[in-house]
Amino acid sequence: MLKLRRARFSNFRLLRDVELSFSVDDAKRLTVIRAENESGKTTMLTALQWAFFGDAALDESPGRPARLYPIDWDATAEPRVPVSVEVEFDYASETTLKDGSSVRSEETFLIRRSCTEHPNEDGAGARTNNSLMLYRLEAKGDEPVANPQVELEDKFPVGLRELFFTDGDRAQTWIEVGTQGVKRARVQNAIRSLLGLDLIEKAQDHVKETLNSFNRELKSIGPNTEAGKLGDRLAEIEVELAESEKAKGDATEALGRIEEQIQDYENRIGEALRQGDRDDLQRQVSSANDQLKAAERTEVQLQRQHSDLFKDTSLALGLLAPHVRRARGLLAGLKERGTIPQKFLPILEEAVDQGVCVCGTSLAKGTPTRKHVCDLIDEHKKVDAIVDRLTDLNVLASRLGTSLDVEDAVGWSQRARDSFQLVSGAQETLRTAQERAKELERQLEGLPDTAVADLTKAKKAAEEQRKVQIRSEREAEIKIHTVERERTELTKRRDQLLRSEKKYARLRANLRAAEDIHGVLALTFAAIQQGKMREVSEEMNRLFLGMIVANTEQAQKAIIQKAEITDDYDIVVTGPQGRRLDPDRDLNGASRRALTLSFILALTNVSGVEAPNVIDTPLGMTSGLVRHSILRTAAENATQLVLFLTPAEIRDVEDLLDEYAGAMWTMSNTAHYPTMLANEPPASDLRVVLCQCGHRQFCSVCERNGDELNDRLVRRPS
Amino acid sequence: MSYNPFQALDLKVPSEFHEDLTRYSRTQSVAGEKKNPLDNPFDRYVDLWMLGVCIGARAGRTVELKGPASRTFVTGVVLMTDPDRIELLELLAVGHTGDPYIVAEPRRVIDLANGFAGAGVPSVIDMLKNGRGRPLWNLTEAVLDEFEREPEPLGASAEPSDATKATKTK
Repeated sequence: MLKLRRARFSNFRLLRDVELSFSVDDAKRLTVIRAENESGKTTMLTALQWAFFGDAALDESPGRPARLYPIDWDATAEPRVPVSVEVEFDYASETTLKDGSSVRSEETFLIRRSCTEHPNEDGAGARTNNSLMLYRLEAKGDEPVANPQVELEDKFPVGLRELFFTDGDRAQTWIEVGTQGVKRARVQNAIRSLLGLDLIEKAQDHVKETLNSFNRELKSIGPNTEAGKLGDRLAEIEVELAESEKAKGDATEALGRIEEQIQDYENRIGEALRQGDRDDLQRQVSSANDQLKAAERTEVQLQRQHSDLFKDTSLALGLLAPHVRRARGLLAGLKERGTIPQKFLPILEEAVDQGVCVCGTSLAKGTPTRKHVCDLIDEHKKVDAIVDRLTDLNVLASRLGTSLDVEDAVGWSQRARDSFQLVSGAQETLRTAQERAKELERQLEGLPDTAVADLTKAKKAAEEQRKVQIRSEREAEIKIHTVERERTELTKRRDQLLRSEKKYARLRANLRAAEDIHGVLALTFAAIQQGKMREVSEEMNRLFLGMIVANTEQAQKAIIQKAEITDDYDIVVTGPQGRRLDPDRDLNGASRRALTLSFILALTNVSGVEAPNVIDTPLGMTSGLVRHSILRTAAENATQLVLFLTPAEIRDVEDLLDEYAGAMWTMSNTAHYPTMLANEPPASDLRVVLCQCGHRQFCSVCERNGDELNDRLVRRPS
Repeated sequence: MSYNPFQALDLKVPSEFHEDLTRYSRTQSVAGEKKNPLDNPFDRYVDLWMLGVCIGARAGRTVELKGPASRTFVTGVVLMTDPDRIELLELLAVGHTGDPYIVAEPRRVIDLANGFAGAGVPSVIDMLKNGRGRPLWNLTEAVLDEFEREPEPLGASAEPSDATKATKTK
């Protein structure tokens, strides 16, 4: 399950400096972001997608690059624009064994995607320094995750992007606009992204990736002028390296200072507690901290012990039991027949030593018989090493055999289950210790003794700072590593450009093979897809009829009786006497929007993927009861719902927002002053400004001309 | 020096899974990255390879690893630190071929093990990836399930011979 916690945008179009949090409350799953038209709704939707999926979310095409930097950026003063989006999210997963024991992973991650844009005269600009960092946020500090792109793809497959991030107006292309073929393809692609089909899909992606890599390689070894461009990039790399090394040094230095500060705060808190006759509390704090550290160590140690089970001989022995048993039988047979151990050779060697053969013939030095026997010994010595080895193996197989018969089925398995339960128990202990430490920290912060409370708050702030510096240090280290690797690869690539035509031919053959495999996978995929499609169709019908408040009691009188997805991936609506209605022509705007949202929610429900639904202007063209039921259905069926709503969409659903919204924000565009905004904005440039006004409020930041007279709104103190 | 007939021979995995060796092992880590047992369950590449050999052998499946489809990740010298594995690989070869004297031909023994790894390593990667938890827990669950399944019955004798396809040895 994935839930958004917080996002921060920097120089992403007009989101120059915006930070907001999302509701993670299960009872109030809805986050409302109110904004008039041209106030950053679509920009924020795009920025969130960019954080998760990168440039694929930008709708770019060759010759039509997307601009990310603010439109009024002064490029003469600052030719490089640092753009970044940070998204913090929770990710939970659970593994349960058949005996019921389970380990739950609840983690918080931070994505930081950034780039540098270089504005040019035509309004676009080159984009460099693309960077993606993924951190696992832990109490003891943030850990960068290796292979961030792969990890993100595992947690939030790119195929699900359009399902979970939805532009209300554009989303209607599922059922309207464009040719029938285009609509079908969109529906088909959406269903393709469902979980349960992911194995084949991943295999397809993998083959596609291979195809692409072959294609790229083919291109790279063809005639080109790429080598000339490499020099420029290599020069840039040197500058980036110097910058990153400086950033790393600064962070390390700051980290040292903060560590000292934290230690100092801890000492002073202890001292203040002792002076205030709070020895008992001080002891509790100290003991809780010790317990927490011990629990953390134990958990890590048990996890490591558990992972060690996968290199244990008992695992290999258990899995290879049939082979080892058969080998044991064969070796025992050799022993029974007297082939092992070697007996013949020692007898011959002794006879040569004695100078007399076992048959009584003389083996005196210089005799032909002695020479014959010595040759025999040499020949057998070659075989001897093998026989020795077989003898050793026989001993080993007999020894293993004893435990094999009893233990191969239960030995490793039982140890793994026991270890799993130990980790599960350690997790529980750690959770308890963490809660206890937090509780004590809250007590310290709430103490009337302001010295202790202030010191505790200061220490907490320093600990946050430590996390930031650790992150900066790691980020710089990774950047250095990445750039150094790029430098190596670029040099290599220059050589690759000169590869022979032989390689070209081989690549073409590989490419054809990969294309064949891809074809087979596509056929398999299509067959499985049909089954899932039926489930989605039924769920969509249920949600849709609920949203448009269909009269199910008197179904024969209803104009709209059923919505379904046909075998050809058309979304169709049926009216009385089974007559097909064209969603494009025969449905009103509200029903079309309801149908679209039903389809999206049905897909997410059937997929079993629990992720936020982020929807821009979902209630446009709707009103009254239908608007009400669309919002209620969405709020009740989504795991986490983030809605960008215009004030017009909010009208008549305020009661539902009161009921479901756990977080509310309002975005305003400074360009709207003075025509629409009532007060002069704090910044003179074009930007989106954010305030915490809910749907029934306004303040000096978001106040629009006429708000004072609007009896639905009240002024929120700034 | 302890016995290791495989020290000069190559241990291989399918090329397309070589990156997964890095991803799921704690052997290599770039600056700033801290690997952990939950996401990188294997201490070394060879641990993942050995499990792949066992899974492939248990399923009776081999894929011959040669040419660009294969990637050598280390030589058999790495087995020196774990003599049990040397013995188990030999016993596997004897048990699979029915020929005790195969131990005289270390190259055949390792070719056979690499063949099992060719089929088994992709299965291990699937085990790590597929599941609802972190890779270590996914793997635990999958290997426990593997123990509950009947192993493929052993055939008379078979060694990898097909260059491109997985084969069931019956």
